[in-house]
Amino acid sequence: MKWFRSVLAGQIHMRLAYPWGFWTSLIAELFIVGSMNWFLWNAIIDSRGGVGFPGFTTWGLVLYTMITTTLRKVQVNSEQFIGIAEDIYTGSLNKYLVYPVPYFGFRFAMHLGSSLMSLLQSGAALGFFWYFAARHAQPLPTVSAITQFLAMVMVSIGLRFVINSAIQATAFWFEQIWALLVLFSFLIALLGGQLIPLSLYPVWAQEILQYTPFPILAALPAEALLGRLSWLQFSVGMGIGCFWSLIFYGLANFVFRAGVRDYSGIGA
Amino acid sequence: MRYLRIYLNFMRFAASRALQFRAELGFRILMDIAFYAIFLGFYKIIFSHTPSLGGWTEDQAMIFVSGFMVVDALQMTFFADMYHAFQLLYRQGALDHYLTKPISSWFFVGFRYINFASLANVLISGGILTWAIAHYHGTFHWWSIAVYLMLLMCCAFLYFLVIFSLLMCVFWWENSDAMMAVYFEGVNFASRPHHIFKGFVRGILMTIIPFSVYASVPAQALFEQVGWSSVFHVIGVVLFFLGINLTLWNLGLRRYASSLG
Repeated sequence: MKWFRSVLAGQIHMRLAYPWGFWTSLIAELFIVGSMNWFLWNAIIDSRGGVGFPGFTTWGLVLYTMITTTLRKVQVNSEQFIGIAEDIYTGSLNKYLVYPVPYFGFRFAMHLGSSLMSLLQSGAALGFFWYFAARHAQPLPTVSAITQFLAMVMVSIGLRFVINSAIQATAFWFEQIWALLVLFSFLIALLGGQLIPLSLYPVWAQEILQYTPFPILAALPAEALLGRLSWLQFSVGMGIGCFWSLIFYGLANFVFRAGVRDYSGIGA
Repeated sequence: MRYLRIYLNFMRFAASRALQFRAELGFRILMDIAFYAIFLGFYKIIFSHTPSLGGWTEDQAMIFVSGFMVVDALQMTFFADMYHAFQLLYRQGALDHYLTKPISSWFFVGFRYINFASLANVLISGGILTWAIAHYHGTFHWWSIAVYLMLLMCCAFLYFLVIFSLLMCVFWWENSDAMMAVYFEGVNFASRPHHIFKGFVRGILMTIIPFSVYASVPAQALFEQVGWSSVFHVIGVVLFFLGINLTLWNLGLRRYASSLG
C-alpha cells in the first residue's frame, strides 16, 4: 500500500499548492447558501406565526444547509468529477492499465487526498462561522457529534466515489456522460435532504429514503454534527451506507471490466 | 431579416449536431427532469409546513417556480453552450475568426451556440407551467398570460446578458471560472420569491445582481394581472444589462490581442 500513501500525499501537496480557488468558491458558496437560507427559513417561520420546527432553531436550519453544501464540496472535487471518463475518452487509460496498481485504487487515492483537504478547509470555515456567528443560537457540536460526523463523512466520500465511478465507466459506450453525473447530484439534492432536513419530509418518504444511498451523502452527516442523531440511528445509517458502498463498488468493477474488454485504447 | 436568416442557420446546424448523439439527448432530458423535480419537491415540502411563503400561496409559488424552469430551459437551449465555448475561443485566439465576419461579432459569438438537445426541456417546463396556471385558484386575463410569457423570454435573455458580462472578465483577468462558479451558486436566489428577501439584499437582487428579476418579478406582474411597474422593472434591467454587455464587449475587444496559446 506504499503507492496509495504516495498518491494520497501527492494529491494533498497539490491541493496545498493551489488553495485560493477553493477558498474563494467555498466562502462565496457558504455566504450565498447561508444568507439565502436565513431569509427563507425566517420567511417560513414568520408565515407559521412565529412557530419554529421541533428540534431545529432558525440558525440550526441555516447551519444544516451550510453543512450539506460543504459535504458536496468534500465528496466531489472538480478535477476528479469526470476524471475516469476523461481517461477513457482521451486514451489516457492505457498507461494506468499497465501500471502495477489497480486503476480504481489509484483514482481513489487521488480522490481521497482532495477530499481530505476539502474537509479540513471546509471544516475550518464552517467552524469559524459557527463559533463567531451562530454559537449563541446553536450550541457547538459535542465530541460524540463530531465523531459521528467524521465517520459518516468518510463513508460518504467512499460511497460517492464508487457511485461516480460506476457512472463514469459507462463512458466506454457513451460519448457524453456528464449529464448522468449531474443527474445524480440532483437526486442527492432532492432525495438526500441537501436543501431541507429529511425530518421535514412526509413520513412515508422518510421511511422509504432511509434505505437508499442518499441520506448518508447529505442529511445524516449534517444531522450528526447538529447533535440530532442517536447512536442507534448512527449505526443503522452507517450500515446502510457501507452496504450501498459495496453494491456500487461491485457494479463499478463489473461495468469497468466489461468496458475494458471492448476498449481500443485509441482515444479521441 | 438578415440576422434572422443567419440565426435560423445556427438552429439548423444545432439540430443536426444534437441528433448525432441520441442516447446523450436522453440523458440531458432526464437530467433536466430531475432538476425540475428538485424545485417542485422543494416547494411541495415547504408548503406542507406553511400556508404561504413571502405572501404567495402554494399555487402562486408553483407558477413562479415553473416560470423559473422555463427561463432556465430557454437559456440552456439558446445560450448555455456559449458559456463554455467563449473562454476557449478567447484563450485559443479563435475569436479572430468571429471578428472577421461581416456581421456583429457580439451577435455571432453570443447567439451561435444553440443546444437543440435542451429544446425538449422547454416543452417539458412549458408543460409544467401550463399545469401550474391551470391549477391556479383564480383566473388570469389572456393578455396578462401573454405579457408574462414575453417577460419570461426577456428574462432568459437577461440571464444570458448577466453571464456574458461576467464571462467578459477574461479580457482583463484571462479566466472567469471562479466567477462562473459563484454565479451558478448565486443563481439559486432566482428560485426563491423576492418577497422573502429584505432590505439591502433585496435591493441588490432586484437591480445589479438581478436574480430576483429572472422569475419572481414576472410572476408578480402576472398575479397583478399585468403589474406594469413589474413589467417596466424587467424591461429596465434588461436594457441596463444590454448596455453593460455591449460596452464591455467593445472595451474588451480593444484589449484582445489574439492567441494566448
